[in-house]
Amino acid sequence: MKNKGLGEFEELILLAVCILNGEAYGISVKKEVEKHSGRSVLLGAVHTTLYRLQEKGFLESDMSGQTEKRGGRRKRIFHITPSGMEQLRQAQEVRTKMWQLIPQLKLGLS
Amino acid sequence: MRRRNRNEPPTLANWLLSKLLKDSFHEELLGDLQEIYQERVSSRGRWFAGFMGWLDVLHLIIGFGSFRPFRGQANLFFMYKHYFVITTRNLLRNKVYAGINILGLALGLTCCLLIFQYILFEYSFDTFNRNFDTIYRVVETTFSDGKEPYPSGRTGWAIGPALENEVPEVKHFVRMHPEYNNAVVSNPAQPEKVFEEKDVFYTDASFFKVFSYPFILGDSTRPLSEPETVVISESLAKKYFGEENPIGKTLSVRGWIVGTYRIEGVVEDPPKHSHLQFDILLPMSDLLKKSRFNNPSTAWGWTNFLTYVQLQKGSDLNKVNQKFSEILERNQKDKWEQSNITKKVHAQALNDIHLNEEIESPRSLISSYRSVYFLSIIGIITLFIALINYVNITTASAFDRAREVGIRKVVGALRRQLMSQFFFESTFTILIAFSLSLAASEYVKPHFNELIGTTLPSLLSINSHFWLMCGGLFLLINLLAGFYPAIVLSIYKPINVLKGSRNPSTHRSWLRQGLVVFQFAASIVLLIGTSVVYIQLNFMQNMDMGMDISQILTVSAPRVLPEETTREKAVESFRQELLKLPFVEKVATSDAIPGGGYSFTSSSVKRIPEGQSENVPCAALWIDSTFAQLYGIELLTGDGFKQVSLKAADEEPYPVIANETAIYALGFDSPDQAIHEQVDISNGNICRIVGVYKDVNWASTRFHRQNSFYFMGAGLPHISIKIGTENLANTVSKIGEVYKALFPDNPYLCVFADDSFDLQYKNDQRFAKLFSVFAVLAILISCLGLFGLATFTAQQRTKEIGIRKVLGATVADIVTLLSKDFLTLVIIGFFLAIPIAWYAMGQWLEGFANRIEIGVEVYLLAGLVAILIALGTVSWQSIKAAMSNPVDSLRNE
Repeated sequence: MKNKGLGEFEELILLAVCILNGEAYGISVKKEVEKHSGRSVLLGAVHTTLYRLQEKGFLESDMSGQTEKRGGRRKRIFHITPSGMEQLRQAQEVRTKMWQLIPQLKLGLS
Repeated sequence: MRRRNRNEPPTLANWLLSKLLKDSFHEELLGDLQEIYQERVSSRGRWFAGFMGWLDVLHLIIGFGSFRPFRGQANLFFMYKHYFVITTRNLLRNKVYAGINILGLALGLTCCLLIFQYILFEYSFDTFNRNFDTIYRVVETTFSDGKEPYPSGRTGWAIGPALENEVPEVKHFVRMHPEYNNAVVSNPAQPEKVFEEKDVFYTDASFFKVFSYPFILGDSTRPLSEPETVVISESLAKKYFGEENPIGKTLSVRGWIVGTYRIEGVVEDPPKHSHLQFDILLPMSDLLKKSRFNNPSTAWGWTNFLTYVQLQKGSDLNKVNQKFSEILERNQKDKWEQSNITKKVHAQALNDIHLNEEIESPRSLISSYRSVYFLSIIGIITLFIALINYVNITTASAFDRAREVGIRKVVGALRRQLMSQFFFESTFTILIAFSLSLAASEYVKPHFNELIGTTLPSLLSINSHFWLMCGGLFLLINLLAGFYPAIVLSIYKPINVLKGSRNPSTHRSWLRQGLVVFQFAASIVLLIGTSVVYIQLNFMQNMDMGMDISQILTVSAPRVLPEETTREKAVESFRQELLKLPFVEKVATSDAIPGGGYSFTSSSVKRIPEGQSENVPCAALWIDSTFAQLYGIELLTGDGFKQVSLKAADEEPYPVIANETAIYALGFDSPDQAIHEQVDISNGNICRIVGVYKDVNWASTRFHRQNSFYFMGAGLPHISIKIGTENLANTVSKIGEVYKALFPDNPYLCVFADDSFDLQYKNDQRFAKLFSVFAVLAILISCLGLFGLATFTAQQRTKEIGIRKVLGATVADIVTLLSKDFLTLVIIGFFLAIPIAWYAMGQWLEGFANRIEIGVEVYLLAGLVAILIALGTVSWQSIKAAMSNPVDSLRNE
């Protein structure tokens, strides 16, 4: 993988996984993203992104938590990895740095 | 089947997902889908949940599938473009192979497509009726001892109303009565417009309720319900009234009943795929006024009507048939006991009528399931021969592509990819052939129509079924023709190919050889078939008929007569006038002309006193006293009609002349013994035999000669004129002048006796022609293939030939060397063809009363022709190779 950076949607998903902290699987992530971003997201998009992030090493997963609601099937629960956390932090830093460089904002503050 | 759980997402979508995605994904994805489905059901309803479920599944399949049409690494567009370039390059480089491949396939496909259209057309008969699936024709089947059951579409007039009254399943009935002897029709306003019309029917007012023949003009709500009204077809309206509006005008029809009818409606001409072809429909009530129909005994027994019924939807046919039979039995039981027969009734589906030739159906367009099957088989064989060409040439020339395959594999192509490349190539070639043949089939359709005797609609107006079948055919051909070459071509091991070992796929050539054998076996069978059909036809037409029908003009007697005269007198005066013409030798009249059937046929004639002979069937014909002389029918014994006065001919016992066959069938030992004996024809007509004629073939020589009896009459409806000059065209118009002068209100209808007799052979001739066309095509396509293979072999062995020539081989040696293998295949094919042709043609000949023995020379000739053609094809290439200068072929090493 050449591009180890995060896409915008990937970032949202990663954040959602962090928020859910141990409860993150396809649907819960989808809902979380929808709740915060206010846009509707396709389940397939969430799943593919989760797997892509796992491939990049930002997430890890295991199967657990079967419920009646799912016809007795287990969920794949995703956790964030240290490198995922690192990536998020980097993204956050880049943003903050850049935010601070916006002249209009400086003017508005002063 | 397990009922779908209310809370499960769409089953089909789930199945699709589980088939297309790796197992490791199943559990969590299906689980998620189900969970979200339930939530959506409770929040937005099932429809929304189902829809979104599908959307999610498709999205997941695209996202996780191992195939990734939208995000694959390779760009498919460029790949196909590359395939396309390679394909066209290859086609252009090997123009000969490409030409043979495409041409052969296109020829075979053209046949196949035409036959497809023919089959669709034949099966589409009568389906244009809105209610065709509930309309049936009433068929009465007669069972009598020792004879095959005889099903017939003829019924009495009373069965229709009885069925409607007594069987609740019957919604409507329609009776039709054809004008069996045609009718003379004229427009009273324009007396010169007088023609004979044959598609004239009497029918019930319910006709238009049951069938769907749309009205163009007039009141479609209650046609034919009043007496003396008529509904005519569009083309008939044009013929008699031109562009005028015919509604309310009158038409004079002289058929079995004579009358002037008010035109109430004009309908579109019946479509080509209607088994009923009518021009004039007259009210049934007018016909039933005839005194003959008042007699209750004729109501059921006089079976000249066609009866159709429309049943309620979903009726049980078995029950209906049983009820029908019971009704007929109740009304006919005593009659049956007299003549020792029983009858059963069944309802025949409307769209079965056209193809079911087993059932007698007067005045219907009849084809047969047999001819449809026969043509399908021929079409499939031709297609196969063409496909074999394709497979053979493609695999034979595979070695040319071996290096390409090797390189591709070395660079990393998978076998699967190579196969898809070669599949693409064959699809492309087949597509070209397919488009060519679609155009060609349209171009030759008029000739095909003439050959088969149908009127196929053009491709533009054909229904969607055809295109569906075309698509299916295209896929099938792709599979059959593309699969094997793709396997063969992609199998090469790069190490062998690139090392340069030249062993073209000889180990696989047994299949190729087998296919060539099959091609030629099929072609030779068709060749033998063609010659057998032609020999048989020739034999039938040149058989001694026992009478001479050459140079005889037959004219229909006038139907519209001046007042105060009878047909007898009119014909007599016509005869007197004719005999004044120098070229007229004899004039005679009869009830029918050769090939035109009899006056009546009966299932029973027996000797009197009873018990001396069995009941035998017979046919009877009225002739006048000069008829036999005119036709050269030999009187074997007795006085014939010479001594019989017309008055005596009309009194019991009627004087009759029998033919030889009848005499022997009735158990007489010799014609002389039968003279003055009495027979009872058709239960109750006592006749006295006054002479015995030599047998003649009154109908096609395809059939056995029938037991016949000739009654004497005069002034009968068909006038035969023996002409003593070769200038026939002139005589026709001269006789016409006499006719028109005497009977100005009648159409002058004449035909030469031999021409009208030969009409009976029209179908056989058509069959022969069809057979020969297909035989030629099969041979042509096979030879194309052979030519391709020969070219290929010659190329492969250029070096070998060069070396042989250097070492002293002659041209003849080399030609033999190259041709031998192919000829062996053709000869094997020949030996395979013999038993098949022998069996098939033996079956075909079974249908003929007078048939040829297939001599050895027929087989040998067909085989020889095939071998010679094959030899010619192969040796062209062989000679070219053999003549080449060895220097050219050996130089470049």
